[in-house]
This record gives sequence, C-alpha cells and structure tokens, in this order.
Amino acid sequence: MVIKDEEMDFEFSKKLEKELENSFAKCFQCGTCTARCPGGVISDYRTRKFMRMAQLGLKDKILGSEDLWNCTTCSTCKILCPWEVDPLSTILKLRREAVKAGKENKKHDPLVKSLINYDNPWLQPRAARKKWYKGLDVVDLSKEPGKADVLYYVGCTATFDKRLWGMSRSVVKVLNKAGITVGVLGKDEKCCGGTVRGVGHPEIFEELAKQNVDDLNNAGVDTIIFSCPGCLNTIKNAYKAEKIGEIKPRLIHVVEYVDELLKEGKLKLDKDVKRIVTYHDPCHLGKHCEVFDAPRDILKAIPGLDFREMKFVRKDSWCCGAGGGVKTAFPERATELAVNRLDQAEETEADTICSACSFCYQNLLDGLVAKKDSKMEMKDIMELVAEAIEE
Amino acid sequence: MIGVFICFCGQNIGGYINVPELTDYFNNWRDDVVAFNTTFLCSEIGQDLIKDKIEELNLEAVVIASCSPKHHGGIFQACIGQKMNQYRWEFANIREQCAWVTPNKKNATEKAKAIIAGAVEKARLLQDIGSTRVPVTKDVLVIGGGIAGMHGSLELTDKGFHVHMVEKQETIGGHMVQFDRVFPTDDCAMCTSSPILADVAMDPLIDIYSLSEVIEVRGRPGEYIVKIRRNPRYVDESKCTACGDCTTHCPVEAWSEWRYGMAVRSAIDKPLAQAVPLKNRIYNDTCIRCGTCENVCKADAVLYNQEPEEFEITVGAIMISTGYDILDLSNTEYHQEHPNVISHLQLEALKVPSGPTAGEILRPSDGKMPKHLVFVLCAGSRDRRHNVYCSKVCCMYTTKNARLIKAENPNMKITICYIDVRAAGRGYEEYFDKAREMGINYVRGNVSEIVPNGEDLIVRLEDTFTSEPLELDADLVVLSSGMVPSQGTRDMSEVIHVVSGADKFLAPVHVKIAPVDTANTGVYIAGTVEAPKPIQESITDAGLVASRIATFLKDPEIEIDLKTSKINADVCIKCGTCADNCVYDAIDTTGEDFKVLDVSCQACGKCSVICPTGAIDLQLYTEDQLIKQVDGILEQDPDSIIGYCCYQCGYNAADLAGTAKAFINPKVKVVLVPCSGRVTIQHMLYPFFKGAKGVFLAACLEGQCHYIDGNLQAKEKVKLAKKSLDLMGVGGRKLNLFNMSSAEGPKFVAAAKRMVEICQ
Repeated sequence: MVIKDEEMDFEFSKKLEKELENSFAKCFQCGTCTARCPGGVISDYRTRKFMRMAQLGLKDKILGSEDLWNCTTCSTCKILCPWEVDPLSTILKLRREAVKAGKENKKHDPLVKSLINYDNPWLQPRAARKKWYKGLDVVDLSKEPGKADVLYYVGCTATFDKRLWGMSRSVVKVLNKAGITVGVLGKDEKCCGGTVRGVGHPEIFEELAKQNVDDLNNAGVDTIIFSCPGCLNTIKNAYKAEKIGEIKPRLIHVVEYVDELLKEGKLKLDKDVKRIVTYHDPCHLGKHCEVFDAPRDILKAIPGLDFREMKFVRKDSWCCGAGGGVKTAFPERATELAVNRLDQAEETEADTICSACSFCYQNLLDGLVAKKDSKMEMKDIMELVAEAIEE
Repeated sequence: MIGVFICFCGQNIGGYINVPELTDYFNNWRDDVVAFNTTFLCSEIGQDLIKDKIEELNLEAVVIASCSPKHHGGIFQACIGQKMNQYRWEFANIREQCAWVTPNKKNATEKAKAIIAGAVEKARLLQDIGSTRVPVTKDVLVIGGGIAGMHGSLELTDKGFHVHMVEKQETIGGHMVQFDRVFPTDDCAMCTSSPILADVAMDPLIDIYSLSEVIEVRGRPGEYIVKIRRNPRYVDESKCTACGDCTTHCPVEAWSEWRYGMAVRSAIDKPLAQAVPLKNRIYNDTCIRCGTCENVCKADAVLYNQEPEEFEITVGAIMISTGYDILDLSNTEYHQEHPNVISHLQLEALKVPSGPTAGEILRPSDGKMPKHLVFVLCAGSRDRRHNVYCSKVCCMYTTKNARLIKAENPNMKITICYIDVRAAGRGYEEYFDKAREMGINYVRGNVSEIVPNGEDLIVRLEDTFTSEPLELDADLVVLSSGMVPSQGTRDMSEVIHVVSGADKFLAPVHVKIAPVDTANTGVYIAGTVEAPKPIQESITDAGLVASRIATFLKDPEIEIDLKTSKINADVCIKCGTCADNCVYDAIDTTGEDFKVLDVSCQACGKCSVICPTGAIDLQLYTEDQLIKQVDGILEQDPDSIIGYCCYQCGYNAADLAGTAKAFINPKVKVVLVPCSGRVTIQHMLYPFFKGAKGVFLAACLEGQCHYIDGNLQAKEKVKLAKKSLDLMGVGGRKLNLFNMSSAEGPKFVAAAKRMVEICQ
C-alpha cells in the first residue's frame, strides 16, 4: 500500500500541533512510550505510530483506526517520554477529531447517551444515586448547603455498582469515626465528565463540568473529598487545563485526608486487621495526581496488617486496564490487563489486593472473577481502614 | 564630516531593507553626513570605497551599516586603520538585528534609519585611541593532561615553548589510557598513548604538576599569574622508585576509582603501570596509617604528614583541556545499583588486558560469562531529564566494544538498543556495517525500562521498525551514557571566567570559525572541554591551540589597544571607590593623582558607573557616547524600547536571534555595551525622558559574567532605577534585566517579546 502525497494533510497536522502543547511535532520516534503502553499489550495500538501519523497528517488513517480507542489514559507515555512530549494529550485530541468526523467508537454510544439523559454513564435514574448511603449518617448538601464538615463526591461508579458500596459506605463510616460530618449531593450529583472527555466529546464534558463547578462551589463546604481518582483528576486538573472555572473548596482524595487525620491523631486504628495486603496504584491518583505515599502510610498504620509492595509501583505501576473508555469498548481486553496486574500481585503472596479507585476496584474484581483460581480478595483501602475501627 | 557606508550584503540586507532609500535619506539628513552604498562592503571594492572616501572627503569618523561587528568588525577596523585612527568608526548592525528579524521591508527600513542615526550621533564623539606594547612570557599553562593536553604540550615544546602541565589526578593520560581499544581502527589505546605519555614525561620543556589544581588566575594576556595548589601525594616524588613494595605489603584493599570499582587497589598504589609521573600515592580516605609502607620503603619516600602546597607561576597563554566525565546515572531508572548494570567505562575497565579479568567479559555478580549482553545507547542522552544533547561518540564506542566482544565470543548474543546510529566520520559507516555483518543485533528503539530479575535483567523497548514491543532477557546490561563537562571543566568558568554554554561545556568565541579561541585573549580550549568529541578531534583541537598560542606569543611584546578607562584628575576626589571595586587591581592609587594601569584594565567600565563624581570614564563607550546614541535612535523613532546588550552574551544572543530569522518587534533597538555593569542609572532613566517606551539590559547568566560581577552590579542598579521610575510615575516594570548566555538566541527573543508586552 502506498501512501499518496494527497493523503498527507500537513494543515491538519499543523492545526493539531497549534492547539496542543509539547505535542507530537517534536517526537523523534524512539518508542519509549510504546514499550510500556498497556494498550499495546492488548491490541495493535502503538502510541509512537499515532505520533508519527499525526506528524505526517494522515488524517483518514488516524481517524478511521480502531486502535485509537485502546488507550487507557494511564499517562505512562507522558511520564517516560525522554523528550518531555505529551503523547496522551495527542491521543485525546485525535479522539476528539475522530468524533468530530463521525468516526466515534460506537460501543461508547450508550455511555454518551446515558450521560446526556441521566448525568451518569451507567444508564441509571438520578434517584438511584441515593441508594448507596441508606442507613448512614449523611447530609444532603443539595438541600441543606453548609450543614456538613465536608462534601463527599462519590462518583458514578461507586454510586451505582452495588459491589462497590462497601467502599463508598466505608468512606462515610471512617470519616464519622473521626467526628466529621459527611455531606453528599444526593440525586443532584453529576458525572465529573472525565469519561466523555476521554472518549472525545468535549461539548458534553464542558456542560457537565460547568454545572459541577457551580454545584461544588455552592455546597457550602471548604473541603471536597473524592474516593474516585478519575473524578478528582478531572475536577482538579482537567477543569483547570480546559479553562472551565475555578472551584474554591480544597479538592482532596480520601486517602490523603485520612492520612492527615491519622497523623494528626484525630483518627485511631485499634483493631488488628489480619491480612497480607498489596496496594495497586491507580493511574489517575498516582501518575496524574502524584499521590503515592498517603495510601502506603495508611496501610502501614493499620495494626496487624502485613503490607507488601509489588514489583512495579508508584510511577512504574502497571495500569489495571479500565480507563479511557477501554472497559466499555473492549471489556475482555480490560480484563486481560487486570489479570496481568493480579499476577504481579500474587507474586507478593498477599491475600488481599487493595486500591483507592472505583474503576480499578471494578476492573480488578472482574479480573479476579476471570482468573477463577485466585484466592486473593479485592478491597478498597477505606474498607481496610473501616475494618481497623469497627467494634 | 561623517561618512555612512551601507552594505546590501547581496540580498541579505538588500532583500529586506530599501538600501537606496536609506542612502538617500542619510545624504539629505544633516549637512555633515554623507552616505554611500555598495553590494558587499567587506569586499575589496567596498573597502577601497571606504578608504577613498575617508581620504577624499577628509572624514572625521565612519559609520559602517552592515552585519554584526562580531562578523567583519576586524576587517573594517583594519581597513579604516589604514587611513585614520582605527577606532574612529562605529557600526550599525542592520543585518542580524534589523533585516533578519523584521519581515516587513518598510518597518525594517525605518528601524535601520534609527540604528544608523544612533551610530552617527555616537560617532561624532569618537576619539583617537592609542596602543601600547607590553612584554609577554613565553611559558604556557596547560590545564589537564589528557590526550588533548598531552598532544598540545608536545606541539608547544616542539615550537620552543616551556609548558607547565597541571593535572588533577595522580597521573596524566586522561580517559584514553583507561580504554581497551579505540575506534575505528581498533588500536590498543595504551599502545597508542603510552609513547605520548613517555614523550611528555621525558620532555625537558614540560613541568608536570600532578595531583594539582589551578585555583586562581590573575594578570593579563601575555602575563597571567597562576596560583596552583598541589595536593599531597604522601609520597616523596623525588625518592619513590615505584618499586611496588609498599603496595604488596599494604593490608588495605579498596575499590579502585581509576577502574570505576571494577578492580581493587591498595591504600598506597599507582593507577597503572605506565603512570606519569611513575610514583605511588597514598589514598588518604582508605589509609589506616598502620605504618607498614613506611617500614618496607627502602627509599624512605613515605610522607604521612605532607600538606597541600600553593605556589605561583607566570605564563603568557593558557590551554584548557580539562575534559569530561560520563553522565552519572546512579539513583535513576537505569538501576545502576544492580551489579550487572554497568557503565561503558566500567566495561572498558573489564576489557583492558591489565584489568581484573585479564580482558575477559565476566559479569560482576557471579563472574560468569554473559549469554545475552545488551547495550543501552542514549542512556540519559537525548533526554530532557538528563542530557538534552547527543554525545556524538557513544554509537561508535558501543559498536567498537560489541565488535571486539563478538569477535572473541562468537556465540554470545549481543544486542544494541539505539534511537539513531550516528556513524558520521571517516571509516565509521564501514565500521558499523561490519558490526551488523558479524551478527550484532541492532534494535531501533529507546529502552523504556530495565527491570532487575534476580541476577538477570529484563529490558523493555519497542522495535520501532516492526512496531512490536520487545522484552529482552539480559544477563549483563551496559549503559552507553554520554559525556558531561568534568568538574575541572566546570571550575574553569569560575577560576578563569571562561564563558560556558547552557550545557556547561566551555564556549568558544565562534563555534565554526574560531572553535578553540575563548573570549579571553590568550586562553584557548581543546578537546572535550568544549563539547563531546572523539579522540581524533581532541587531537586536532590541541594542534590548533598550539598553533594559536605560538601565533599569540611569537613576538617578545604584544600590542594592546588602550580602550581603557581614564581618570580626569580635575574631578577625581581620590575616594578610592573605583580601586575598591576593580577586580583587576587596575587603579594605581599610589601617585599624586590616581591613574588607570593601562595593561591591567579590561575595559569593562564598571568603575565609571560607581564613581561618585564621574571622574572616571571609558574611552570607548563613554557616558556621553551612549547617551548620544540613544538620542539618535529616539529622534528617529521616539517610542522605541532600548536594549543595552553586553558584548559577551546579550549582544551575541541578539545576533543569534537574527541568524535564526526570529521575529523581533522593530521597536526594540539594541545598544551595545562592553558589560551590563557599564550601564549607569542615567542610561536607564534617560531614554524615558526622550519618549522611550521601555529599557532593558541583556546580561550574562549570573555567575558567568565575563568581568566577574558586572551583571550583579547591574542588577542592583536596575533595582534602584526601578524605584525611581515608580516614583516618577513611569512604572518600574518598564525597566528590566534579562540574563542569558551568548548561545541563547531564543531567550533574547523572549525578552524582547516580554518588553513589548509590558510597554505597549
């Protein structure tokens, strides 16, 4: 197959480069990104090739490629690039161009429609957002602004997937134990927009983001807590990068918050947790938000718990495989990556793998099911903390 | 009458500026100004035009409107010098700083008018500048005894000069004598270099100071006074015969620094059998002072209590060849803490026949021969987190080592991971070709991860040709890391104030046409002190330096132009402020009147800025000349932004912006000053009274001022002037100081852009 001169659309290339920063134009094709790309493990997606195609302006080839949808947005490429180029932003941009050209990934359609209709990607009615906290002591800040110490932004996944309610409920229990009253937005909470941003729909993202900026500023609290790093990264970093608006309250992941409580002596862990635990760094918490120490410090503070590190941790951590719309478009591929990560976890001989992300939780859980023979248990780190305080 | 000579420079100026219009303009501008133009002013025809007109019209001064004075300044000075005092000319840089940075021809022509008008106004105040002859010392200082230093020294003694060679290590020889073989000939490095070492050792005209450092350089070109510190060897060089009895009996065993931890040494030892001087030394950090060596030494040479000594020598010229180190990758993602991840210098230490394995490649962890040896090229190179640049030699030395090992061990699997193989040089491509023919596996892809796997390693990269991620199982990994300036090289920018680039290698006056000269007259650089380069290029450099020094010192005296400061005794109150501040001790305060010592003065002009009565002034770049130049510019274009650029860095950066054809707003007009420290508060404030929109200074990076602290003095003055501007309601933000190296054109562009943003 010969690439014809007219297929090389340098105007397209120039336009993209102008709209991005530190992007593909400077890439010298060393392949550092590709060799460690999780998308490349499960498919023919090659980060470097997209950088090259973008340089050449091979618009049709890029936008029509199924490979484009295998990026999990883990950001390993950006961290490893020796030339400080940002391949991730290029891929996100190319996805937007694909959607604009009507070449979106059709498997994302239900998710996108659900977001337009229900403010969540899970095709669930708004009222169902209230189910997870039944019987817990929480304040609905959408009705009574300012009536709680903190706002807990749950995120859609831990709201609607019953398997994750242990996680969201533990967050409330742990905070209550430290004497902190927890507020939520109830049925008025809306998706952060991270997913649609990742799969190329900037307009829907912007609309959600603007509403969130208002809602979060009007909740009447000075701290907003997240258990989903995807939401945290989107609201804290992406809203800023895409110039949506400023959110005044402090935005913080629950591991950082609990770590502070423990260090200040406001929360005491006195019950032994007899587990051998390893920790999986969520990409959006670690690589994107640079939170590495807090979860480890918490695990080390839990009495009786034997904490063991996997081989690839922190910035070298392997992605669970769920992000960037991969789990929706190619669920079996996402599971394959989860299994790879669980294999690494098993090498530590831990009986529990924990993480601090709803999406990692979901995907690793699916991985455990797929592995069948694994004796390991999936837990969120807040569930382990809850085990250490419950009478 | 002042003559303005405008150059078309072919299309280089003519294509961007309306030269005929410019000529007409200046012919009708003032009664005492005439203007001419020609295609190439630097040509013989152009020079004849200048000379003829000086004579014909009895010109008082000349303005050359052409390229940067850094290009052909010397040619025009010599040309004008044939007809009148060689300093009665002023340049107007309308090429680099006007034509090439102003895309609109009309704007460029208007800007050129302002630049030329400024030059004419300054030219009216030019005076004759005399010269004097001073004696020179025929001795030469060579700092660093590596291959460049050795070769340069031998060339110099062949020409009859006396060389003082200062070497930090206990032996001369540098990196080359640590290598097994050298590309592209596969010569034994030691066999090639040991005759050179021996020649240096036996040369009666070379004094070698080993374990020594240059700690201070004073004086002037032709007569530099150099302070040397000799660190203790703890062994009397005059007595030690290097018999080795002490080494044999010493109870201490430590990792050898010379062999990068691949071999052991005693606490009293010599790094190699061919060391020069061939003397043992005590490694103080590992010596336990047990007294054994003292007891066994028949020559009675051990001196436990030796102290460092300092002494001074006088030399006429200096050659700096302080070389490189390799990039330190410990504590990085390259896992150098793993015993089987080694640097290429460690590999050389294993490969040398005199090494711990007698040249066999046995991996450090268990002494086994590796089955799969993986070379990681660009380890830390072409990497913005480590070395941005390419070190030029790694592709070749890696290919060399791979070939040699493959030839000895045909069954060993050898993989070289690379981004691009850079094999540019005579015989290099053929050398690389042969390596592939031998079965060495080249994989195009940068290593993204080295994962320790017990005693082995997993190396991950993409084979970018097949687009497939690879996972290599290696049992020995060699990091081909690049070169960085050695500590000695870094020290030189402090000790001798040689300008260095952003990469911290020392910068020549001109990378292409003056590659071994520095901005310091009589100081030259050779070898990897300037940039990463192979041995043959270091030797070429050294030969050129020897030639440049021979030219510089060929006569018993050199002529020095007296562009110096001058004290007006009628105004001087003898407060001594100038003398206190002069880093060159160039003010003589002993006589009836204070005087400037012409040969010591470096003409930076800092004294004229701090003198409370204005009694001291530079003869070139006088207070009034600069003011008049600004007047000339602002009369043409009142809302300009005046940029005082220092000769060493700011002006060069502005020229580079032009060479790169960057855009600079035509409102920005450059005024050349010798040093940012020469700019007075009056210079900073005056343009605002005349309508200027802004003023800035472009100075050297902090710590790299050619005159030591001129830019720091300027920083203080800018602070004060900013306050005044605030009080005056003009706004201090319209005056700024920018630091940049002479190589940083983009920084100048950014500074100019910033000023335009602030001031318009």
